[in-house]
Amino acid sequence: MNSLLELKTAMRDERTEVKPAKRLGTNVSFDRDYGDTVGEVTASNARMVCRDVNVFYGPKQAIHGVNLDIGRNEVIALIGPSGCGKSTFIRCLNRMNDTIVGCRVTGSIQLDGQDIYDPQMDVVPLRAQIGMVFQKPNPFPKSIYENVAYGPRIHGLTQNKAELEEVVENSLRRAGLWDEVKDSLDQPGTSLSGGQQQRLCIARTIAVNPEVILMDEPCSALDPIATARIEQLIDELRMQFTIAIVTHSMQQAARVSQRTAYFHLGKLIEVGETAQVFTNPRHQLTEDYITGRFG
Amino acid sequence: MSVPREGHIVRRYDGELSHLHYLVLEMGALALTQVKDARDALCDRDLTLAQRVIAREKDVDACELRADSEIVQLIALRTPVGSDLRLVFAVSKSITDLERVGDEAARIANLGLQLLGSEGADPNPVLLHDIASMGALAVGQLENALRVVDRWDRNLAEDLLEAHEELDFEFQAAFRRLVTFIMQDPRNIGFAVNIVLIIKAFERIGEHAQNLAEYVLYQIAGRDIRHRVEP
Amino acid sequence: MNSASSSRPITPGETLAKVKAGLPRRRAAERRFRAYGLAAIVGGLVVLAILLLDILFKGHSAFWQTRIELDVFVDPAMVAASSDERTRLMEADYSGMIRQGLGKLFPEVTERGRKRSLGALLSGGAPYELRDRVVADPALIGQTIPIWVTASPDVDMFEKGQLGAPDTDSFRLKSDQIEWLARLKQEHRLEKRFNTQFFSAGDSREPEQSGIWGAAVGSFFTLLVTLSLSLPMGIAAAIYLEEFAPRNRWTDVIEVNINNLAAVPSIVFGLLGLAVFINFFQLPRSSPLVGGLVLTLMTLPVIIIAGRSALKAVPPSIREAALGVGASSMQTVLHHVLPLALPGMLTGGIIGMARALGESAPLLMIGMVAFIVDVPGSVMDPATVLPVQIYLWADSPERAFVERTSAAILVLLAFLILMNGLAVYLRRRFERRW
Ligand SMILES: Nc1ncnc2c1ncn2[C@@H]1O[C@H](COP(=O)(O)OP(=O)(O)OP(=O)(O)O)[C@@H](O)[C@H]1O
Ligand SMILES: [Mg+2]
Repeated sequence: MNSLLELKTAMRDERTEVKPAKRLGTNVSFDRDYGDTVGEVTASNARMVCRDVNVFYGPKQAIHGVNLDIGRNEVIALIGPSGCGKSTFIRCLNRMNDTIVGCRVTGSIQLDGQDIYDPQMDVVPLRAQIGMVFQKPNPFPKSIYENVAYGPRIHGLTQNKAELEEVVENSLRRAGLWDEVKDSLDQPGTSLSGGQQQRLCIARTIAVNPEVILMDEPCSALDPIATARIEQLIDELRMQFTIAIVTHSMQQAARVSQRTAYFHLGKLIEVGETAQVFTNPRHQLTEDYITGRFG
Repeated sequence: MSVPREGHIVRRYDGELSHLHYLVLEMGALALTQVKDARDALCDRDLTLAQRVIAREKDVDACELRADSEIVQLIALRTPVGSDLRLVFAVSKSITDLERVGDEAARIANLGLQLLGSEGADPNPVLLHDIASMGALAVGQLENALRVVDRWDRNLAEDLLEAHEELDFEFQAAFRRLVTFIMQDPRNIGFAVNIVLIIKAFERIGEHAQNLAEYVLYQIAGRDIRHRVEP
Repeated sequence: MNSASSSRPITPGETLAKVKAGLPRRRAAERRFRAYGLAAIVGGLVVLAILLLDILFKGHSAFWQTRIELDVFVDPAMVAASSDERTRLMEADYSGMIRQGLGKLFPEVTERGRKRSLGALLSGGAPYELRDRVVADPALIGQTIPIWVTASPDVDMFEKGQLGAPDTDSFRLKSDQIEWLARLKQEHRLEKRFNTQFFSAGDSREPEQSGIWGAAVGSFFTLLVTLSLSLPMGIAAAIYLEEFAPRNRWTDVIEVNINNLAAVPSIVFGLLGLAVFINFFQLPRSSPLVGGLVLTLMTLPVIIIAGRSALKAVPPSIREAALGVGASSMQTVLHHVLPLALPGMLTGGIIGMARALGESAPLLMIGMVAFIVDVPGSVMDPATVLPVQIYLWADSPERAFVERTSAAILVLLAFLILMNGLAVYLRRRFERRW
């Protein structure tokens, strides 16, 4: 596996400073620049920068003024009660919300300094750059090979068949699925089990070699072993990619992420180092949610 | 946030956490009794009481074992996070400290037996005076610490921590006095060493009491204030 | 929050007792409901069976035709003198030869009136059958050949037992004719044979010479036009409306109109076709082209609606998956959505086609009801279609047309079953599970 040295260098060397609370006990510090969000919304080497993001479904506002940075080589976990807007927010990051009729996004979301909601922006290269894994495994009703080969093929990433095969094998290997499917690449992807399908979807996403991967509850239907495999994969992928993951499992967020963001009723309540959020959340709502006192 | 906040959606979880709280208090009460009895045995020259203290030491140990297994279970089954995690951690640490307090009480009783049960003449009552005052201080601090744990009160805890130098000061004074005694009459040296050990034990009990207050503060404030450097 | 603890405590067995008390009533209701459903199905099946049996009973005899065997001497003297070989053959006196051949069988019949009765045993088309034989093989001239010719409709009906009682008006055979028929039968010169004419001929005033081939070809051309126009247009429109069109007032209006068009009585489309295609564009009347255009108008909304619902049925997760790896909207639709929706779309299309095949009202308006003997050779030729042919025959007074009407209905039904079977097959073949 990775040597300790590698791990160390890969870890965020510059830990975001935990701001001391003004007074012990209230646990709240305000940062006027970034609304009411507690904690450090900025990241030292930000890949994506979201400022004052509002999302409306028709007249209904689902996201209220969210500011959040997503750093390079970091896994950020988005947690929060059901319906708080995690999916809505994560889908903004690769403009997946464009497909929803009546959905409107305001504010700015930048990828490497470029506004992705710029009218000039083409969503096709954007989505090739920001891949997405969905909550429910959704392989194409085609063969396993086709599922993985589809992305590289439409983007013309490979020159010939041999190269494509290599990409497919590589992606399946990285998704930890190769050994299970290498003899049945022509079987339909839908014939796999739920966990295998989800790993197939992950392979399909990484086959395009995106720079940011968004995952919306990728393990919600998986058993602990498959979940652990995917968590291990996320941990490996982190070396190359930037990952945002929505999860309902507090333990999962704690295990895979470096930073955690807590959403509540469409607002970003608290962001911070995962270890800090889970031992000493600074906002009462976060505390109540993670300790199971919500409601 | 006076007592650990309740209100989990799973109400049994509340019960388990308050049971842990109760366990520390129970063990605290036991340890306090031990310390008090050890001190009384010395001051009243009550050898049987000292023996009782030594015999009861295993109750304290049993209490620790019980608490530890409950804590491990709770961690395994509930995976506490946030304030719950800090509470469990604080309780766990407190249990360890209280067990040490129990050890110190037993040690005091043992030393007392040596001191009082030796064939020769009684030690100089003046020498014993320091034991009484140190004992009173230690018992007071432990009582306060248990009150802090009971009410989970931050102000009480801070007050207790303010007083952390008192015992130290007292110990130094007693030590100096003992040294004077030894220089006056070298025959006292056997007694004096025992007494130093005893008052040292009381001093340690005071430190454990301080620790309890620190754990409570850690749970409440979420910051580790042990080993802090005062500005 | 305390609802569980504050509600009335449940005594054990209480629920079970209550459930058991209500059980007979629930079971009875279930049985009743099942009985209703079964009764509905049985009733429907019985009616359907009666209908089918009735048609089958009336129509099956049309597939058989009474024929009479004659030994005909192809008299070279009777073959017209003409330089052109073809006209020479075509204009020979075949009726004379037939008459002679018939006379040879019944030499005792000499009286003029009885001779005519004898001739009436054969169909008016009998000489043409001989002609076709000879034209096909001129070497027969000068030989005596045995030939089976079609009997007249009255004989046919008599043989099939459909002529009624001997003293009614419709019984048009004389006693000596019946005698002759009996003699022919004895000599094995009268037989019922499979009616190839019915499947190969166009319409005719003479029932024994009429066939449905003309109408079938007309239907084929009409459906060809309809299919080649409505399927691509319908699928394209469905895809555009479902996948690409912005949702606004205009698309709402279009959607409402499409739904309304699907419900418009079909005859209105006929009127529209008459006004637009024939009167305005001056396309040939009665032609499969115009018929096809009219039926296209009629089936287009059906195909669009079926296509849209097939597209809607494709799970959005597939679309998201494709968009998620960076496919463009068009790639998403062409690579993923359309293949999944195609079976549904095709089924919709074929059901629309089946409806078009059975449609007659709008075609009446554009003149496809004309009496057309020739089998159409292209979409521009005047033609009729199967349902209209049925309508025409049902209207004819001749008794022999009754069985033909039913037989034509059977053929139409067979086509419909074939098309629906094709729809099921396509669905099975292309349907993919996800
Ligand atoms: N397509 C939509 N149209 C209208 N409202 C929507 C739509 N999708 C989501 N919403 C609303 O936006 C809010 C946030 O929804 P979202 O799906 O982002 O929640 P979530 O945090 O992902 O919840 P969960 O954890 O259950 O997946 C909800 O109140 C929901 O009702
Ligand atoms: Mg969601």
